[in-house]
Amino acid sequence: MNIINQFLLRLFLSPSLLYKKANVDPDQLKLILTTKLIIDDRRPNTFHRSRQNASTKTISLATLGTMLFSAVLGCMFLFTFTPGSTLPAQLTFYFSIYMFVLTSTLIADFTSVLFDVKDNAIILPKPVSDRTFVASRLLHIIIHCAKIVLPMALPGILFIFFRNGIATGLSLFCVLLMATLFTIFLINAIYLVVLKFTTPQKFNAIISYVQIILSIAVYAGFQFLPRFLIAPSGDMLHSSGWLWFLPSYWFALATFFFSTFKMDFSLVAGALITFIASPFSIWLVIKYFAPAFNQKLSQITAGSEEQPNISSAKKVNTTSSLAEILAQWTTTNVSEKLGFINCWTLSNRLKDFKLKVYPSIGYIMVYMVVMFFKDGQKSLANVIALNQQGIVVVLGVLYAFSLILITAINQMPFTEQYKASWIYFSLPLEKPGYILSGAYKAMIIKFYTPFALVLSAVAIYLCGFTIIPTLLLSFINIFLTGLVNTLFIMKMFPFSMHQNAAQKSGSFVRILFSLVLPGILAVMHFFIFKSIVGIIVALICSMVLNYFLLQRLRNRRWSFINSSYSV
Amino acid sequence: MEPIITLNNVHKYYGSKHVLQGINLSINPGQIIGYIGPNGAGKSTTVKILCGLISDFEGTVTVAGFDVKQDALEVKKIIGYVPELAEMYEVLTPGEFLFFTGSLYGLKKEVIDKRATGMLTAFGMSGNLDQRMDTFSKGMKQKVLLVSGILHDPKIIILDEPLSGLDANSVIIVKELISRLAKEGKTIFYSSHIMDIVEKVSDRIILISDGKVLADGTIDDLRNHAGNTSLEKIFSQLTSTESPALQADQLMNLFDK
Repeated sequence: MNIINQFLLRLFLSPSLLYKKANVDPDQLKLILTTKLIIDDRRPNTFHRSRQNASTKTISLATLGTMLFSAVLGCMFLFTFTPGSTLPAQLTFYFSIYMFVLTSTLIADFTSVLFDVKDNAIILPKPVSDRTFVASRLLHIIIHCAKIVLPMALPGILFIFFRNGIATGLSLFCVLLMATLFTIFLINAIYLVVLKFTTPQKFNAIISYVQIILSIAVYAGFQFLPRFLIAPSGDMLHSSGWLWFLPSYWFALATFFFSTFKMDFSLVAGALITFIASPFSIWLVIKYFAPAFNQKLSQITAGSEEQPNISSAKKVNTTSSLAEILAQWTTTNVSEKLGFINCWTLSNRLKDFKLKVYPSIGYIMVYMVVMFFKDGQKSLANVIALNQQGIVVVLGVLYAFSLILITAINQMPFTEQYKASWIYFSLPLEKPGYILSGAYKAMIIKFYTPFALVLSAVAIYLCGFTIIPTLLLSFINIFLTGLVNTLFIMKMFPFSMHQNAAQKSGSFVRILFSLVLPGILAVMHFFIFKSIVGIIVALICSMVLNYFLLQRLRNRRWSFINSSYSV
Repeated sequence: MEPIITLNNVHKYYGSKHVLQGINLSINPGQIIGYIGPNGAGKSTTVKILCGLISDFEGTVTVAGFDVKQDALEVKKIIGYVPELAEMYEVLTPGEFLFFTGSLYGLKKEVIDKRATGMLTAFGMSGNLDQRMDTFSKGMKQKVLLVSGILHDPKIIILDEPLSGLDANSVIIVKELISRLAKEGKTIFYSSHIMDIVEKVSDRIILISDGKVLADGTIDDLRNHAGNTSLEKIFSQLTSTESPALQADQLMNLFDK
């Protein structure tokens, strides 16, 4: 066990008399916590998972990695303190980002701690009292929080300490503690709401969606909050009454109040709310949330596998589904159809795929809104007029959507359930490349076509029918980008490799290339935008290239595909 | 002889589903009980009740004189439970895992080390004591689970599909081990659906289906009752509505052009 875990363990186990009084066995508590912390140290956590190198075998000292990453995040929050606005405005922004990131980090980790069903088979049959078991889970969560919260908060506290003085630094430290308590309350509230509407068995899947929404919200927050919070003068927009709905606003006012002790009404109110709401929220957690939560948890503990509710299980329509109809239209033989349907269906159902790909859709949406609204009416006028700036916006939007497709294609070969891909290897396929071309088509139709249709409608509405050649060229170019990615970057069958394999050497260069290619095509498109002849020539070239590359993909042989698995 | 395990009119519901419908059992010390039944029959629920993992059932269950509802901790002390495969912290080494489980029973480190090393050596795993278990085969993991279940020398050993994934030699060792443990007076509760092994190791076979005991007796009793046939056939007669031969016929008919 590393030194940080040892220190935290010693710290939290020190009141052993207190534990004894509460009928908790201190020796067993220490044993369970020590083992759990060793396991944590060896198991990849949220950060590693999201960075796609979820190796269960190689990661050790994961705690130090988590803390370091947390500290880096904490340093990134420092940009909220850039000059140009007042301290309360900066602090509101800082607390907002801090709380959002903390929520999205802890929400996943809480699941793995609280829902570790292996405990049911390993610890519960042993002579361990319920109180000792509950205490071990609680302390485990508290130690886990401490490891994330401390390094995340430290850069901000140090920065304020040196820039604004001891009083403000101390004040920020105390209020951050309150903000953390309030965040834990929020997570509990999210858990309880999710549990209210779902069974504990489906809980993990729902929490993944919450994570996706939160990560999009963090990105949106980065983009929009400064615009909403800070007036052009750099001052806080105090006049907006809705600010009181933002807990981060109370925390900012409280920090400011305790560093200045200025008897301003809003400052005093903010400080009061902070120091009443946070402890009150934790009281709510202990008094009401925890019992309801334990009750729900016991449903898992008491043999959840015994009650497979088959009758209420979602019926899946297997005959002539949408995927089959689309495959019928777009594929040329049985292998391609199989690749299409399988890729389409699995991408609907595999949690790890959705967790990686769906946020990118959200990011693009936020980016769209930022792009359009940063200059208000001006950008819209530019687009309608199709002047130089307008063309940049149009092409920017059209080509930006390729990022969703690229993310989906890059994620396509990977899943935790990769072993099921034996089916491809046992099939009597002469040209396995058709499976890949089918999968590519499924990705295009699923992750690009719907957006292309909406974009076309909006573009034609704004700019008229003259925009059609531009739309066509951009779509064909994005098909080309997807094809290049499938052909040269993702050489494996869909969903046939463990996530670890995504982190092989050279992947950075490949990802960079796949992001740069649409950019290059967009720039080329920009130069021929006004020339209809240029567009038609480019369109033909792109279509021919698409055709040849698709043939090449279809002609991939076994020897080539097998070589991708032997690396 | 005073029974070591008794179940008296045990009912258990999951929501509206009636999983155990009045189970009555009385098991003497030193017996090897083969507890068999189709999927969803209530085998795992019974096992969990005996281990003190489920307390919201109707009826009474006593283990070595302790009421499972009132004295779950005492019951847990004298039971060794071997769960189904893969229920372990795989990032630990067998040494760490066995230290953890052994210590929860209050065993001293020296005792754990001595027993764990000896038992794993007997299973041919002396060289794997300090390797992480996430690289182990199914059989190796199952061996570690078996060791963890008997490390504290329990009076009663409850095995839930203990042979899944084991190679032929290890199966022979486990079968031999079960007989030896029973000879020492330990009670073995063996829940499984692998008929031929249950048939060979058990003194007494209890067959349940839909939460009810359908048959209870030695293999000879069951044979006498069902017409001198194998346990597999008896099982099929008692639990299946259609004959297996008819079902196989139906499957084969699907190939008819």
